[in-house]
Amino acid sequence: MGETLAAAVVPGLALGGVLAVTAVVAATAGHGGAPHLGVGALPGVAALAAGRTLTISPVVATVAAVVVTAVVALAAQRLDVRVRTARSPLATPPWLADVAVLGLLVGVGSLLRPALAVDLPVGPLGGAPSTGAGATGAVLGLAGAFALRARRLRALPASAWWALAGTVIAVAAVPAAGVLGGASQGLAAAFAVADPAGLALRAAAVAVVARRDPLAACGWGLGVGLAETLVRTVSPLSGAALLPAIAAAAAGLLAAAGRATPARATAR
Amino acid sequence: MNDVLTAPGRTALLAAAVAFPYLFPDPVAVRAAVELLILVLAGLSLLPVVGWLRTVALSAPASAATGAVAAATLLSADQALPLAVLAAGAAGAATALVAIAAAPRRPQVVLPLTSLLVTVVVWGLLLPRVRLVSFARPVFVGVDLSADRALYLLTLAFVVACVAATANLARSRAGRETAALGAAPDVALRSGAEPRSVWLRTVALSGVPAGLAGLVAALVQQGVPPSAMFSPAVAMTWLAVPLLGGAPWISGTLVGAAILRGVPALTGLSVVGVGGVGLAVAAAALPDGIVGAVRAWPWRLAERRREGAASGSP
Amino acid sequence: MTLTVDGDVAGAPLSVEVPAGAWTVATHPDPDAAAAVVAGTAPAGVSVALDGRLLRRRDAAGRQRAGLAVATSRLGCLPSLRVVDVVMLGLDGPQPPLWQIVLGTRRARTVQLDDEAAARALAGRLGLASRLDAAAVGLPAATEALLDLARALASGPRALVWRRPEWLPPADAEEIAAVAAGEHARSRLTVLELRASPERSAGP
Repeated sequence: MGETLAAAVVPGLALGGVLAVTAVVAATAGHGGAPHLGVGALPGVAALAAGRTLTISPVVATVAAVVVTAVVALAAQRLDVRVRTARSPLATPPWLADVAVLGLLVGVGSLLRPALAVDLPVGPLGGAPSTGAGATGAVLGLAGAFALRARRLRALPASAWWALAGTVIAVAAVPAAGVLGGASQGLAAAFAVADPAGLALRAAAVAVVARRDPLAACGWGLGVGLAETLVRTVSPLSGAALLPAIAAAAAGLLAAAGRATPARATAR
Repeated sequence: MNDVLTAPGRTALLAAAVAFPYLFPDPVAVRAAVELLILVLAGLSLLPVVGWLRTVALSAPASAATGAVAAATLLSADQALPLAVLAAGAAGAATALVAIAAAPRRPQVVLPLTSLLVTVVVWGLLLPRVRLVSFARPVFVGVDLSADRALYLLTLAFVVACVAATANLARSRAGRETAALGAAPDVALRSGAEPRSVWLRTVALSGVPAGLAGLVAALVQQGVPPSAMFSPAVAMTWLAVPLLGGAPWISGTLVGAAILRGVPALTGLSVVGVGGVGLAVAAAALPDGIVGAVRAWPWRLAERRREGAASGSP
Repeated sequence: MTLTVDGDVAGAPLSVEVPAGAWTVATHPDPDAAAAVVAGTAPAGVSVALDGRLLRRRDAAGRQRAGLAVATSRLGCLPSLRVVDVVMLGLDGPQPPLWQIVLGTRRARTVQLDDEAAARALAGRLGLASRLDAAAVGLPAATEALLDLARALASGPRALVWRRPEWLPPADAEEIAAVAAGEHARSRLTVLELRASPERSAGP
């Protein structure tokens, strides 16, 4: 049991760090007090981009992941604005912008997937990081969560902030996904690929409960990441791995229902 | 309703669809055509909710999954195919009802979230716990469905039935109320529509084609299909079918499904990848889909001509 | 049918009693809000009674069942419906059960054909015959106002609340008013006309 726990800690911390920074981005990019449903898929795009270019070299893979994620984040921001501000005789359906961004990121992620990929039940980031890589990803994720809420960065134009968020997420997600460690084994390109939609759902769940508070995002992100990894380690095929994220979302919704104050304004 | 696909066009399309497996008997082509028809069923399930009620709905994969499980369970117990069809449709409708029942107020805002939650729960929690069963494809009214061509024709029959049902609904007062409630709620209310019953009946009906899509997937797999076929990512692809083609119209669903299955077939790209990007393109640039853009083209051309004439006149 | 409206809309009073079969013009600073409140589609600030029977607040369907129709002269955009479909929206006859509609039984088809014939007859009488098969999107404002009137009249109401389309050129507004007056004279319909002008006067 002790070994099981130890095996779950590093991947759990890594996932938690990524969820923390992604939840902060989702909460900040959301509208009407609700988190953005789509933007949480960015770590999946980063991990897939890194995995796809890993055969060249780990450095190229990291740079490619950062560039691709930043560009995709920028495209997602333009898409989000365009759908929200569309001028049409008919009102834009609620949540269409979020779902369109999620569709874009899931689509890009799927196009980045290797043609012959095998999904292993190792977690939404798609890999098992080494101790060093996992810890690095966790630290970068937690630091990124605080950095992106810094007043000076929040003052950036929206497009620059989204591109920066993509960069920060990619920097955290690539080591956390354990992609670079796969280079020596020659596995990462085809095995254990990330799940962008699953990551988006988990990030949204953490953002629901943590809102825009980076400290709460770190706490809940680490809690969800560790709990999920522990469930996967104890019972990999039980289907209960989503329960921690669902519990976090439920806690957030219950807290929101209990709050008497109205939803916060949409401005960053 | 005012669809561009008229009766002669529908007849020609049906004739081409029936002739397809005889003209292209290659099993790969027939299997791809079955996948296309599954996408059409998914699109038809979303048409009333997305096209008429103008609401994002993501529970179609969950309806398909429960339909597949119900059908596979019955077929593995040697029950008759018609019973499996009824069970798949009912399971799909019941799953869709769970999503709308969880959104008692402001369904246009809440249904996208509850429908996504239902898909996540079915895909992530329920499907991994389902007992895996397998069965041989049954013989139905003397036709052996183990042949891919027979399975294709059965799926085509489901599509034709769902198209007919959707067209019948569109022509009825219930369909008009639904379309008005989505596009101009005040007009629908002033016309006597009861919003709660409109939402319940529309969402419940939308689950039936999705359940049938699940049944076909179960027949293809000869068992419960893998959970990846009903994931939230697949919900994006299925949502792209009506949005890209033109959500309020049956022809839009056919166009959307043809693009989302045709482009991957021609390019080798993944269906989910093309679906996700297609969803983004539709949301950003095609508010009424391809069919809506084509329908509006003569009107816009005339408007441009009028503007040109007005600016050219002294 | 006597129509009584009493209360406040957007901070201004709206109190009027229209005798059965009469045409009364009422004025309000925000006649669109007044029409929405009377229609039961907006939060209620007024009580509405038909022949002394109080109608439930914010219950648009109940008003139609009771015989009160409201035409705001505005429709918006209904891209998946034809003009005749919009007229048919107002029809208020018995409908077959949903399973019959979906299966397209003979009864369902008969009801559909009867509905369409009734809508075409009414639209023809009101001067909409040439546009019935066009999509209900991008319609000229005058056609939209006439179409909403046709939709409201399709249910065969005994009382009509009509928002006069004052945003149209006066000639167009008069033409539509003449159509409404024709229906009023034809069936002794109780009509409450809502206007934005400050004074209240007797109708045509």
